[in-house]
Amino acid sequence: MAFSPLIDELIESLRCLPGVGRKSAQRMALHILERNREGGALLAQSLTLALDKVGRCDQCRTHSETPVCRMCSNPNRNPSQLCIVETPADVLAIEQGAGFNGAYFVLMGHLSPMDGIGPAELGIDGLLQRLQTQTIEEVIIATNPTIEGDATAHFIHQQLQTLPLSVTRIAHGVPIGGELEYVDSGTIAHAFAGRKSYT
Amino acid sequence: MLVMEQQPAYVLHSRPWRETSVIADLLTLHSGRVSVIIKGARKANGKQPAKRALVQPFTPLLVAFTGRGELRTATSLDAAGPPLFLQGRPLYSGLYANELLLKLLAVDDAYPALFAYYQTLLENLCIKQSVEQSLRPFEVHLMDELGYHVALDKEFETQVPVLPEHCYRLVPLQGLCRVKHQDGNAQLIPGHVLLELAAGRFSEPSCLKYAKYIARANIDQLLGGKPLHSRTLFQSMAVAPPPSQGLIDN
Ligand SMILES: [Zn+2]
Repeated sequence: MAFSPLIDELIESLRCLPGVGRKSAQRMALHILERNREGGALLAQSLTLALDKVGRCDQCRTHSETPVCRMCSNPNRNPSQLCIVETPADVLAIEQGAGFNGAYFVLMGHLSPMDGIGPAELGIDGLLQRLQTQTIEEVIIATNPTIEGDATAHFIHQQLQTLPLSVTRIAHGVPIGGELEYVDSGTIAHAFAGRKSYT
Repeated sequence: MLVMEQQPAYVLHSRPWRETSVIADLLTLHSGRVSVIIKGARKANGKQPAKRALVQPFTPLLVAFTGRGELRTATSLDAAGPPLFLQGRPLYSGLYANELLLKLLAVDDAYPALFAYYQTLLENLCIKQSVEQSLRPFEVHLMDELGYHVALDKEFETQVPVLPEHCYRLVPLQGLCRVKHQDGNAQLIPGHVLLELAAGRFSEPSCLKYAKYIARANIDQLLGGKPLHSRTLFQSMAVAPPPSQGLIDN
């Protein structure tokens, strides 16, 4: 069955969303046209607005529609601790779980030489500038426990060595409620390497 | 459909594919370099050890896959041992080796010997043997396996043996020529160094820097101008001092 050109175009456009194949795109398009035109109009409007207005925060590089994002301009946060993460979603995860009240720097990715993603793409220069101009006492590197995340953490650590601040890396280990027998050997190895003494 | 049995493999590189899967470039023992789709590699798997922990470089794997052509589909994936713990410079060296293999190996050509050399490289990097001393023999083996054996104990045009007291210059991927009169811009390599390297001795720091020059000249020629991103990254790590400056590093 063939749709009219505009509907076809809508279906094709919807497929740019993650996890949306031809079938789901078709369902979404027909749903909007048949049952929820108002919602569709709202979607179109917010999409246009967001694409137009949302840029990057000058300080932490996360998505923001103001030059400095809300988190960075919040006077109740402690600017002497800076946590470096790969993605805005990681900021959210830490906000929900870590009781961390410092500032963030979002790399928007990790070093991946094979994909041509180097220090410049991650804004490392901006990070160094920020560390040189602001009084930051501790940098917490919270990149993912992957090879690329480790390579990124090591690179940043090397770059920070001459600066008078403490650099830490978040610990990796066995998940809460997890059973050792079901944990992969890489995680076990990390958990052992990072074991702590009772104090 | 051609279904292969499980075989030893390492992930060289992977990229996300669809919602929960990855496309991984593997170095395998019997099939050489292949690209496979590993389904569900990015989702947590309940009580099973997460696949995503396995689909990391430097983790010995057993992999079976099905299909033909550019992109196969993994049918099983297991750890063949604990991951090799590379950190710092060794980690970057491992990424460099991976990029070399990715760029130089044709898909589907088996290089069983190279697989073993790669494994040895990772083990050496892991026990913190010097990065340079681990990489140089690997590069030589890689060139040999690719069919570019560059003899260091004789001149390539005349087959005249290299003599310790003479000086030579390298013609990348071809071999050595004796230099009788210094003509200014050629990098000269002393004969006694060449003989050490030809015998597989990479321990002398003075030999190592020539070994690095030779490896780089050959590899660059083979890459035909394609950049090596991991090398650039290595060099941009300002704090780690480059091992030798001057003529060799240009
Ligand atoms: Zn911000």
